[in-house]
Amino acid sequence: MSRLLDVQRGFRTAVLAGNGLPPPAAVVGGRVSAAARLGIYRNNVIGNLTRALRLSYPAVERLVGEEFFAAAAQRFIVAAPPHIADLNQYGEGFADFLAEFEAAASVPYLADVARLEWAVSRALHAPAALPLTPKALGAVPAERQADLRFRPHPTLSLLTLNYPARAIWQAVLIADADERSARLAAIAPQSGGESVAVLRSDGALDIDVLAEAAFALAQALTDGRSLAEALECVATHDAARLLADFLARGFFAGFSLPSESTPITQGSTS
Amino acid sequence: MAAGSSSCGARAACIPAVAGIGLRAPHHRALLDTLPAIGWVEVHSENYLSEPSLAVLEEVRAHYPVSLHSVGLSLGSAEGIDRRHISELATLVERIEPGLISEHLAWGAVDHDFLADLLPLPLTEESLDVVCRNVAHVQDTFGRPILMENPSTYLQFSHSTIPEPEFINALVARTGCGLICDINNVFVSATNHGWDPQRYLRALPAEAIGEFHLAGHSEAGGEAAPLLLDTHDRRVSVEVWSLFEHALAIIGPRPTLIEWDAAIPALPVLLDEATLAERRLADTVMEAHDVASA
Repeated sequence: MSRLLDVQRGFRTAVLAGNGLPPPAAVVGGRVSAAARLGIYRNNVIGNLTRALRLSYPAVERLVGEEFFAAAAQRFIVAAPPHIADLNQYGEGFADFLAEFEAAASVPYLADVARLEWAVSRALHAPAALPLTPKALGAVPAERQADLRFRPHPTLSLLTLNYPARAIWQAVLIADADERSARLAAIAPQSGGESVAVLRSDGALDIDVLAEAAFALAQALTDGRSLAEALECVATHDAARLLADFLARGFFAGFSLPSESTPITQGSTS
Repeated sequence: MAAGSSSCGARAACIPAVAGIGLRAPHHRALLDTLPAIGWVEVHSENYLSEPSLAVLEEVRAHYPVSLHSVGLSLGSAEGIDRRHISELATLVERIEPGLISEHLAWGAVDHDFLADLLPLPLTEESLDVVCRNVAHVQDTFGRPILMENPSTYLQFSHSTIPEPEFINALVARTGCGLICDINNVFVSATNHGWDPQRYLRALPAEAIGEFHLAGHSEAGGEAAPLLLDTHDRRVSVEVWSLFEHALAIIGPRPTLIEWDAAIPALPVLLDEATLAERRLADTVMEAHDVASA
């Protein structure tokens, strides 16, 4: 058994849980105590990861305040430290954590705002990709279109929100405090939710509100169903118009066909 | 690795032995808008694995030589290196063609939990084996030597058996890696553990040093129990400038980086700090003794 591995596991527990270093590892103390020395690393670890969450969830932090956010972040970090070194990708699951976090129960829309912010963060950080164009799709023979499977754009998230989280998110990030308060006061949190598509298009963030049938179809198509399968589970007479609309908004990065010969694919990262 | 001249891939721009700055997100716009006369820039690789910063870095790369400085490979991890992370870095290296690639003598991941800090290693034969294996893995992947940075540490393990400079010498000898000599880290660790910083510098293999780092630190302990924190949140201290001058005299000029990671000032302040390093690099007069035997 590796002694180094034991030391590193003990160190992780010590910095996350705030305990001392478990034996056999021991720290040379001297004029500064071992606990104080270890405490510096604990502050660094929790502080660095809290900063990463703060960058992805600025509206959540505004809604609950810095201190509450730091306390919630710390509990999340201890329960779910990242598994990757790219901290832009850290924080998935924070919305679910907040939904279960009793201390935040008085802000029922907080988890929805967090889900929206995670989708926004994903949209901003995902790799660039050219959107699938109607022209490229036009190359598919009409009799084969039922078999089309679309590849969702890497920046796209589809969300159903139970609260008006988009309006709250936009209002809470207004820099001017008076205007922010006025805008927030005008939103009735119980006024109902909406379904949205979040993506980056031409370098800019798009948040599109989708009607029920459009959302269901978009979800079915991005789940990897073929066009025929998707249309079976969505009741709409408007499929052609909706599909054209999705293409115009850049929801897809490519498609594939289960070909008898070579599969036709289109779309690539840029 | 030859002293002073960086390891340059065929198409990668060399990093010259002049002052450079650590580029951080708040300065992206100002740097690209003003294109100041600075020899090179260094970035933390892990901040440029995803958009939109990756696109910014490609733009920066069109104007400046870039050094990729990783903080997340965790080369001291007993479990080895995360495959996905190293392959993402390899893609970044391909796209940016950096003049230098570097990491730290530290660890940050265990059981695939990533702790987002440069954590201290017990300096033992086992740790030396682990770090050498991981450094060799990285160098094999990138097909070129990397530079390893001496850490700033706040604690020492009681079961450590190898003095830090000796550990670093062995790492260089066994892997052929180069070194970043972080002058501020030498000063911070020396203060925190009661070492002699000049003696530490003289014990490093000068010919392996391919880069210097400079940064500001803060004081956390009292007078009776001095403790310095490597905060990178202010100008370089008087003591660290003086230690840098000593390093220049015994090691010679190398690419020298100013790092500023918290309480980040306006870009001109950072550039001014780089000018202070540049002046000392230009004034370097090597001491006429054999540093290897010092």
